[in-house]
Amino acid sequence: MSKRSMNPKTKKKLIIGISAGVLVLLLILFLLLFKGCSHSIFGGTPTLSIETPQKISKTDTQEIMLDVTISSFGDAIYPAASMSISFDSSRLEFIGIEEGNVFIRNDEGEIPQKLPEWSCNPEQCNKSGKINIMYLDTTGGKNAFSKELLSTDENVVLRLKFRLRGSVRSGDICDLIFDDAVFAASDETESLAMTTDTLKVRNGKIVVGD
Amino acid sequence: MKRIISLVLTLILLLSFTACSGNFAQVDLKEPIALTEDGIIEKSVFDKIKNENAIATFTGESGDFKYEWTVFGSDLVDTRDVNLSLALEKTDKGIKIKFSEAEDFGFPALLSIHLNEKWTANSATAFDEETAVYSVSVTGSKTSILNISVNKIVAECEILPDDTKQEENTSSTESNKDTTPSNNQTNKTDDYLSDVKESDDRIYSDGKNKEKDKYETDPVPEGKPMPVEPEDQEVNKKKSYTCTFSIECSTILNNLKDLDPDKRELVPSNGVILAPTKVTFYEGESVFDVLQRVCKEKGIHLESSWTPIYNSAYIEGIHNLYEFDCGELSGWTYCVDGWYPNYGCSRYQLKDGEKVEWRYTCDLGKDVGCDWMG
Repeated sequence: MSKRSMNPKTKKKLIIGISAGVLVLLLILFLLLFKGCSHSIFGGTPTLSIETPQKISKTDTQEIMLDVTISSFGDAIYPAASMSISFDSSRLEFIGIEEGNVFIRNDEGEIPQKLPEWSCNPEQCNKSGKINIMYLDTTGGKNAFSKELLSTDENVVLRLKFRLRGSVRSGDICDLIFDDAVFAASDETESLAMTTDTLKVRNGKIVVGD
Repeated sequence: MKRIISLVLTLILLLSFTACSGNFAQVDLKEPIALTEDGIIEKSVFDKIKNENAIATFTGESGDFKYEWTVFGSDLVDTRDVNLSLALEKTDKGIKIKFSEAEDFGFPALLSIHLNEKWTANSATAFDEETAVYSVSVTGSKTSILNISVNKIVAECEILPDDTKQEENTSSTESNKDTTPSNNQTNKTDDYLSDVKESDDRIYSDGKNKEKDKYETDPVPEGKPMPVEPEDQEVNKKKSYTCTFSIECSTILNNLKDLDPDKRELVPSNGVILAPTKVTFYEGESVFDVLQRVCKEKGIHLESSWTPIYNSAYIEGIHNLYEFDCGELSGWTYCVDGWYPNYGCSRYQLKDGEKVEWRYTCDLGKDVGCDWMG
């Protein structure tokens, strides 16, 4: 009885095929490990974060800028947003907000975009120690936030500007704490809200060095 | 064929090696890093933080508590494996921390402990037995966050709200009084003080009074000490206590354009006229009494005037820096344990262990955290 052997060409093809498959699998594994991408690949709950800046010198009179970033949006469009952030107004002076790089749809509701105009009253914020910021699309959804307008890099919704007050001391730690945050969709069930855990938040802090 | 197989194997080995070569490459420093069960963060991670001058956050949980370490790349010099895990346990008055790491980290790290409750104290202190080891800031509007800058590691310590420690001090003072009875603390209450609650020998506001008192004082916030009129204060020189006093005018440094040019040279470069100093006072003395004595002892100029309508001394100038010297809204304010009393310093009767800060304001108190003046 003669031993049946595989055609060398078929064998070669089989090995190449298996090798290619293994390589593809490894590449996927590699990407997952390196990017920590469970979040960006599989979605996950959007997170709104206040990015902690480097330590500030207590004699620094420059403005301190803190980015407020969003990791992702859901599938809805969000024509309104608001956030409320507590801070220590005895040690920090809130100067105002600056635009970020997260766009809204343009007046035709199309992708060529423009930046949102957030509203905020710094004087009132400093009195209350609470930064209340709001965005409202008055066009009925044309100027809304949506996930198509997010970039792959850091998505800065807006920037908070502060200055240290004379009362700060070395080693002071000033927390910036989200009391509330909402990206409201026209269908309420699709809204992202801190209170319903559909929006996660990460607080930031300003640390005063020497 | 053999070449293809060896190429594939080499690639597999290379990828496996890179992927498994520790946390260094895997860690995304922009995201919070959850501590593993053993809590150890490898040297390679700290190297990455240092090399990228990044700010990394490590999160952990212990019982009902969540905690977070913040490490600044700029603080890292020599790096090594560090165990960042903690055991947190609620005690009667505070929170006990047990560090897993036995040695100092070699860099300062910021520890934030998230509580499920709100502490009323603005500050706290961590004690190792009776020794204060860390000062703790308390923030948060709904629930409290305790922030500690950890430089040196102790095996374990207990964080107590500063009010608690003061209460303990007061209690111990009270027990002393038991052995040496004293009736010098008069703390008389007028009619307008009828809605106050009493705790130890001091009278605290219950926050129910809505009207000004006869000396034009707005209602005292709940939980804060009521004023004691100077004519009712009896000083007992047989009983002495200590408090911390400081005088500073750093707000002027941010408002030099408004400063009277003749006063420029009076402003210390760091704004500190008297660094926090422990001073002795006698039972029954007011903040004003102690300010006068401290200034006299330290050779610091002080000028005040009596204001009958407020039944208190008014501080016009310290260190030759007077009200209005740095703008129309400038002048001297005082705060005790972080609170700016809404009455004159002659009416604030001191207690053992209190921290009195005299601060120059250039903006009617707003720039020093006093919110009731404006």
